[in-house]
Amino acid sequence: MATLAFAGSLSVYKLPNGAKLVVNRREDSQAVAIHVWFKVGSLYEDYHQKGMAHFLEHMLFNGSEKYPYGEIDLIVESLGGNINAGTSKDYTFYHITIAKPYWETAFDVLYQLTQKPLLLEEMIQKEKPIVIEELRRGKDNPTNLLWEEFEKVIYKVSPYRHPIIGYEETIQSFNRDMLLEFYRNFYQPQNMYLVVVGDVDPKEVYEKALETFGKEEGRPVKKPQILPEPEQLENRSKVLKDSRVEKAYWLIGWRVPPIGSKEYYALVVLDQILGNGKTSLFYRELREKGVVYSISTGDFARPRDNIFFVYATFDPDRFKEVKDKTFKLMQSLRESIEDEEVQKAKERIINSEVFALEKVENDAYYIGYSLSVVGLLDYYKYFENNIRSVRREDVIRVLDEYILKKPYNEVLMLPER
Amino acid sequence: MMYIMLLLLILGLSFGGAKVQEYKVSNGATLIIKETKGRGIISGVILIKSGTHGEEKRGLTNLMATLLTKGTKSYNSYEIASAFEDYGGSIYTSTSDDYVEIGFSTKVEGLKKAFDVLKSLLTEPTFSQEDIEREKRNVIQSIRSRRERGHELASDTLRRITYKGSNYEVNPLGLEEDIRNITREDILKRWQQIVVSKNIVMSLVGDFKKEEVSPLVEGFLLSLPEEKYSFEAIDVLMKENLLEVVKRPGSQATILCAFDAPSYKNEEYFAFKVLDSVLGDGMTSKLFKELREKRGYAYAVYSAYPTKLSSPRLTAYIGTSVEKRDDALRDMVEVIKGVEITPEDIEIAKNKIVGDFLLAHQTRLRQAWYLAFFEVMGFGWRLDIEYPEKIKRVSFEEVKKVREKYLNYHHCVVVEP
Repeated sequence: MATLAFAGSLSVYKLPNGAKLVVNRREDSQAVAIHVWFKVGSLYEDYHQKGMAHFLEHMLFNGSEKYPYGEIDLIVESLGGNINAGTSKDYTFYHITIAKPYWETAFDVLYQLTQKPLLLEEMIQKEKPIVIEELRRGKDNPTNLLWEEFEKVIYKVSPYRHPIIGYEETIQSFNRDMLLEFYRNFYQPQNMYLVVVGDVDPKEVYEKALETFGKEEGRPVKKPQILPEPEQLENRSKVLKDSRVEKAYWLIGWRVPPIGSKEYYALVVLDQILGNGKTSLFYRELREKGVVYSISTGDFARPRDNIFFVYATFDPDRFKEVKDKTFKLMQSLRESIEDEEVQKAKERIINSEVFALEKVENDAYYIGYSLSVVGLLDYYKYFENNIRSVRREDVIRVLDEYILKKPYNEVLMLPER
Repeated sequence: MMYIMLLLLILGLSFGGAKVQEYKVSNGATLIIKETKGRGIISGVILIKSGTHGEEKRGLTNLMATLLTKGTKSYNSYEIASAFEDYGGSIYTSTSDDYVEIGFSTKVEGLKKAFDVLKSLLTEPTFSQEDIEREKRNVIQSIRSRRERGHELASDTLRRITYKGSNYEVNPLGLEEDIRNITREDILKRWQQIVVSKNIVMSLVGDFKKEEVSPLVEGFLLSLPEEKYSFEAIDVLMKENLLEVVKRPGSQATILCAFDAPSYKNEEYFAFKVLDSVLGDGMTSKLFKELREKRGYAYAVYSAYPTKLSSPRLTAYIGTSVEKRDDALRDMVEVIKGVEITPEDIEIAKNKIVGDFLLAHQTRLRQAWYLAFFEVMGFGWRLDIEYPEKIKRVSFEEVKKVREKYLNYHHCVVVEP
């Protein structure tokens, strides 16, 4: 047994095969969240595999050694639990939220689902039209097209430029051998993070993990070649026209420090000040003064080539005004931001964490994200301390160095009349 | 048998193990308080029984409710938001068919401030001409934007045909031409009409001692005028099958249907909830199994049985490729009306409902919402405790009976390219 660290009720273990397990014992909930994370997403696909990480996630629900197709859904839903999964560009995770007495069953289900899938050819063929419908459903929504285009504008080299779901042609070409290869490359213990949050005994969870996930021998994990995005030297703008939209949609973004880096926490504070909530600068000065219909900010929380964005909707003829005012507000913030405002933003971030963690599944998500995407549990453990340590000058530096002095990427979607 | 045993175990659980207390304030307002244990956070929900019932200019209630947080005699919109966001919480207002909702979260130390602000926004809103004009533009844009997405367009079209002649016919956002004609006097009149004690239910869930907070809350509720807004909910019966096709450019067809269903006032309500779950909730549901898994029509397919004061309906959705739309529509109706249902299906569905209900109670905001919702709809807040038991008592025979009695007619909308 290898206990790495304890932080409050957090128990961290490393299984003999390299898989990591984190248990956060919480007595305030009767629900337990069990997550299994893999450090693999669509970023890890080669050109012919576009969409495979996501397709594989679907396939894992199509039968395992112990549980034939359909039985897992039946078990979990019969116990009143929720089971689902998600694939991003950086990670894939499988999760169950269930009442406390059933955590062991749920754990076993996720073990079978992720470690013993059958990946039968006939089920692959069955799944293709479903995934293609998912792809078409996404394309049916104009704002999805806007976000897809935004990443194409930003990333000229990095595989972040491709959509997670892939393309109809690549999805149609998938077969069992291709999926097995991808699965074996990445669904290995050394690439796996188990997270359990709820009122459970960490030692019992560790024992259960040893009996299940811990039994897998494991192979080396493929080291994918993920091309970094070269430095951007010029502003990039693209205009899209769509006959379905009724207003202008605008996304503008800059390359910023990756999640977990020292400067990242200043970016989080800047985001809070600029566009988070109804007390934010943009909401006050643009939404409440009738310049835009909506405005928000955020970042992609990526471990490389991260992006900070401003997202707004407004009347098409106000584009220039909105853009000018957005830059002017950031410039004036840079000149006149006071310690008190930074302090207030930090308090808001820290206080809002308590609400976010009311749900055990949110807590498990943050831990899983920390471990697999950021690569450090410290991100989760010391988030509050790191936010507290942000100073006014750190916020100004991030705004200055990464946004005001750097080229931007923007996509404007306008109604086609 | 196995499933019945599992169900009993789930029912023995509760989230938080909290105590609930109801107070009737002397002016007729209802207050429900629930103590929880945790890190000093509180959420509350105020529901005002009204919604769009009795609205002459469609969208008036929503516009009035939106303006409540935009300024009062004592606080501007920033100060209103700041009173909650400074503690990591938030405040929102929304309007649905049957009630206006004001929800908020804060920390225990922010509670006094929160009630000062809440009292001000319900008793002395400014409704300034400038705010009115800006919010009218925002609402008009929101109404237009609902045409951008297939599902929202289908939903608004379905409202028009299935609720013809009642207030449900129009989305609470309202009608563009009516919004234009709303005056400040209209807004004041609606505010005076519905923000009255006997229409108000407030629930507060948090980490406090109720003796400490109840005087504060009662003081707030006593500031409301002692009056009642009465209205008659118009019941629209379904008498024939209807189909409306709407053209919109896109990559999928969106199909949305409504079927006749029992009123929530009827004991059949709970059996019908179970039927809805069997048909369209989760991966074990009939629609998911038959239309997605067996026939590959769709990625997303589900049903819902929303609780409304009148004109009860079961709705079902599927998003599919254009070439599959006729088959998908025909088969969706067939599955809902005719697919075989077994006693085992009923037991799984009951567990699913109870499990979801308990998992949905993880946050204090949702706990507060359920208490207020059951009370304002006329069930009484105790249904929050009794709901799992009511679902558990539903028998296979009862589900069969409601299925035979209802689902006689369907109104469908197809939005297609």
